Amino acid sequence: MIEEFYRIERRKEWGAFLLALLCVGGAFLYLSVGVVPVGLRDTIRILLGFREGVDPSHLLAIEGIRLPRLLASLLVGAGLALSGTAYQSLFQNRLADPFVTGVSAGAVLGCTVAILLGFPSSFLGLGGITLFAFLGALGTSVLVFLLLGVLKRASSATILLIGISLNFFLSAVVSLLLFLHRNRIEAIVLWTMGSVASATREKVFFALPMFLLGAVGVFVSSRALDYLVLGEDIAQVHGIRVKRVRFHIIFFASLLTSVCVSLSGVVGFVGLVTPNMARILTGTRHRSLLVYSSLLGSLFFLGSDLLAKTLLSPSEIPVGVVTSLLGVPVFAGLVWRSSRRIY
Amino acid sequence: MALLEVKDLTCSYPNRSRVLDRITLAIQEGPFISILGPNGAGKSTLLKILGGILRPDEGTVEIEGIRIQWNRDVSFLLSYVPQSLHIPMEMRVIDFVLLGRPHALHLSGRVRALDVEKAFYALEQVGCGRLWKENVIELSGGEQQKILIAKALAQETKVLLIDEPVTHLDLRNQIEVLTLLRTLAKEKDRRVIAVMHDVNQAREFTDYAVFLRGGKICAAGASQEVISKETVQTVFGIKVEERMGIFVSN
Repeated sequence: MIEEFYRIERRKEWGAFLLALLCVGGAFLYLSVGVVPVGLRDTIRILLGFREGVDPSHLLAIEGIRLPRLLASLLVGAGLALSGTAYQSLFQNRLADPFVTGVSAGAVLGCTVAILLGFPSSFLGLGGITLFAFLGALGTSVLVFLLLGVLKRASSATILLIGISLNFFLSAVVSLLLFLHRNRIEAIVLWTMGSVASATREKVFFALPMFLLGAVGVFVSSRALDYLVLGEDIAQVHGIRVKRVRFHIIFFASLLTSVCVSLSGVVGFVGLVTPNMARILTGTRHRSLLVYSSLLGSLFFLGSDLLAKTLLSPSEIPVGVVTSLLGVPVFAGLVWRSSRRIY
Repeated sequence: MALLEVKDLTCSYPNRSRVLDRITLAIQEGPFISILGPNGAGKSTLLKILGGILRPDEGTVEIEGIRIQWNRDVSFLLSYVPQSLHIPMEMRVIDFVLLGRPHALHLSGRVRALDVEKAFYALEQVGCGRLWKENVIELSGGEQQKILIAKALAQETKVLLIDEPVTHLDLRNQIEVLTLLRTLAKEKDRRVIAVMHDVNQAREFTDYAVFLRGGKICAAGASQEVISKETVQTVFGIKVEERMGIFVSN
């Protein structure tokens, strides 16, 4: 028994390594595919900084456009998956994710307000937009949590109902704001569609430290998450300061959500589907679960965006559309697989 | 040193009268203790206060001479087994039991060999070794109760607090779980404090019984003596008769 236990543990470690390799492979594919195809050799040369003899159009395509977009995809995928995992374990419910609970919609409202207040998409303006997105996301998560506390029971149906109502409510507020400021509509609609096409180097540089902060914050709470899944009482006996830890997790998960939303707008299903896939692969021990989730999230988002920009090339589909088209069948499969008792 | 010493314990929930009303209790003997009483008597509340999960309005609790403080890590001293388990996600039985080992993970994320051994040993003790790979959610009620106890055993604490260990189980599992608890108390030097409903089982399996009613202690003492026709009638407000050592309704 014990030997088999260790064998499975080793297999899980190799699994994580394999996922990381797939991410790297996917990244190279992502860089070379596009309107201007770039060979693998040129891609590697550009990445390593050997620019002599490289076609300038290739240089522009990779350095100017695809690299920031690649990084944005990786960040958003991992960020949504991490915050989805955290919300699910915190709410003890595998349907909870930033999109379903309405936290993403809160972040969009924050972005809208920031844009209407006149923050430009420059480096400093991005700070304002992300800050407002963060406040929107945090406010919404706290609201969801308070509502669940009032209703006492966090059943799947309750969370979905609260999430759906909040989603409608917040979207209605955004629509109202759009209606009142019809002249600025274009800058805002971008955020509600879900796309990383507009990712720039500045945006990525700005998002990276906040992403790292959020990711570290979530990873640090992995032990607490392990116990919170078992319920508050057991967590408390094990010395988890439930109230404090809960706020800590909500804070960093909201930070991750808002970084993702300010980079890509609302992208659904990544934070819902990939943590559930990770749970099937590695179980609910958060040290490895979070690693698996973030890698799967990156991979899923990368694949979706690759499809988004190549399927109807030269025109593009918003990546949010692709993640939903891919995510719904995967999710239906997950529900079917575990329909016995889990919901 | 008393096994359990409770002084002036008072607890009330918002918008409700006192759940526990100045309870004072000192238990010296008996490795297996039951807390009995009608629904709403405050049994589970008392157990949660003993485990440091609920903060009482007033009063103190000492277990094995150690003062229990609310919101502190007491996992070195006691383990708490809730009424039922609800884990709505994939979790293997062995991973669940490993959570009883508070520092099972290396910095690298690998599990320490000693903790793995102890977790497997705990599972063997409750007779569920073969289930280690199963998903917790897919176990039967009896199996879930046993792996809950296994997690508590892996914790290797002297004191085990259990909330209604056999309520949802069939007769065979009830006997198995209670026998297991008694064995732990008698042979493995554990102290088991369990909230129970069945007075007959309490008299058969436990050494010491505490009766609660309306947040107050009605009776306490060695199970064989204190669980009597008179006490049961007073505490539960029903008429009973004792036939062949078993209480039946009259």
